[in-house]
Amino acid sequence: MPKYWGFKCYMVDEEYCPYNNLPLAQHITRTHLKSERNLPELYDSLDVSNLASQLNNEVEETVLIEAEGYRKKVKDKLLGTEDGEDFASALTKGINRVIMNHLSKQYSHILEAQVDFEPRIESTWYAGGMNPPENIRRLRDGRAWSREYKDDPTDRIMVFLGSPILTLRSVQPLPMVMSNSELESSSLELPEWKFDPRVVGTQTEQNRRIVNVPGYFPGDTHRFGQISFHKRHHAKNTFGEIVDEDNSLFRQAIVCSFGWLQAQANMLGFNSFNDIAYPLATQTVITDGKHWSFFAYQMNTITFHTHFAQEQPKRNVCWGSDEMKLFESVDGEKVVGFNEEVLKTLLKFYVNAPQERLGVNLTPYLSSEEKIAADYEDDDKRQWLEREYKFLTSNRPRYQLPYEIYAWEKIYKIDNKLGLWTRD
Amino acid sequence: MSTRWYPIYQKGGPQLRVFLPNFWMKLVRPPVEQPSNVVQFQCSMEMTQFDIRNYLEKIYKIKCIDVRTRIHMPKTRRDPGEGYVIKDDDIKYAYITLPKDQVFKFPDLFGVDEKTKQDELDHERSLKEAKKGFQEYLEKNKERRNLPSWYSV
Repeated sequence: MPKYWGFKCYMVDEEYCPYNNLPLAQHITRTHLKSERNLPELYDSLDVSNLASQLNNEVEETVLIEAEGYRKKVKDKLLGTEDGEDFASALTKGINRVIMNHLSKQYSHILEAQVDFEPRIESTWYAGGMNPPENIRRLRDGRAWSREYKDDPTDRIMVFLGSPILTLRSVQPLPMVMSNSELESSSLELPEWKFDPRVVGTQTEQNRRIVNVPGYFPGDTHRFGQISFHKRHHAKNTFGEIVDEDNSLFRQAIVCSFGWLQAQANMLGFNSFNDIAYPLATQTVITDGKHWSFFAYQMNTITFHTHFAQEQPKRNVCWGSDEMKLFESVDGEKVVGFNEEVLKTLLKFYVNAPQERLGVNLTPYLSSEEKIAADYEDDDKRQWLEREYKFLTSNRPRYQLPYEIYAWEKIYKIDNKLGLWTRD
Repeated sequence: MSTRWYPIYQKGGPQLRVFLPNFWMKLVRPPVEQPSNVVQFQCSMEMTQFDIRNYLEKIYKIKCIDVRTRIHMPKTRRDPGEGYVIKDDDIKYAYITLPKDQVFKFPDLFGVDEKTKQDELDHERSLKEAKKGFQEYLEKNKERRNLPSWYSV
């Protein structure tokens, strides 16, 4: 099938997490997960206790308002959404508004930050080092010269579909959590994974075009992610094992962080075959309104297709905290057991300021003359580029239908040559 | 459990009948390499994912974390005598995920000892050599087709 209609893709959905999916997530994103459950040292140096005490009441107020609103909404409906997905979304937006209003006076990076509500995030990359699918094995086995390579690993196209509640973007990248020398000196281990992703329930799509959408259009000045907030209502669908609920959160954090950063890297001119020239970092929050988990992520490489699957020494790193409760319950007009530690951690994420990377060309592979489609002088070229780009990223199906083999053709003309149609 | 009806007794019919259950599961060796906590079964077409879970949990006391099924359509083939196209019955496959600390290894049912293995290898090797020798012979005599082998020295 020509790639005109798209590629066979392995879907990594943020909200669909089959059992024991963490090793696969780590393999396809090449992420080392820090075993100790705390955020990196970078965050210890940020002092936010004053800010937290100033914002304490306002955040409590937001919790009350959103809980009240949610209760009204649920009461109106006979069958309310019990998982609190709407509550998480409303509360996160409320708290973000409170924090940004307060901090934008002091911090210029908060004032300048771009906030996107529920942006579309889609990311595509090649992951290698996994067993070949059965059809590829058979194909290799059928040719004498390729028989000895029949069990060699193959590349797979992974597609991440994200659905954050809101994201913050900045002009400059976040500071690196681990410096290059630290990365080289520490041994960052990965779990071994060699199976086909489908053996643990990963879904595939047959015709899907390669698309990278980091939540903004090309040419945007705010190209670097700062914080993304994600829902965790899917955690209800775990498999009754506490260990796996914990793992599914880490799995979500890893795929969300890497997926978003990879799409950003693609906008900066890097891809699976042109590795990033400098590390990128992001901060991820997963919440259902009451429980909050915080993650920091540093992306050091995006090149780990089959040729690099074994040799690539670089690893991406994920730090995560244990989940914390923002409050115990909402009792009438009072928030019971408000936990300021959660607010402090959240504030640290906001206060962590993006910095200019001195002496680093942020887009070494991109042309300095033609930065966006509008810069092309040739009318035909510009129009073609814009039309095709918009069409490809829209994920609309092609007007021309893909070639189809009907079931009767497969049975009577291909599998069994009955010869009834030879006169055609 | 069986949904088959007990036929009314007719004179001369068998007194005792054995009714096999509708639900059965057959453990199969997975053709694709899988994690050690995934087990593959063929099962009866009527079984749903709930049935499979209950079957394993209630009868065999096996904790199933996740059950996935698919229906496999076998290849069509020509009838050897009549020549029309026939197809075998569909097969329902079930993939059972055990808790991740459990390991399932497909048993070696027909344990082959070292001597038999060595014999088989020797046999294969001699067969290969014979084939190779014949190919060489064909290659050498391709210009002189249909000539008996004793014709040349």
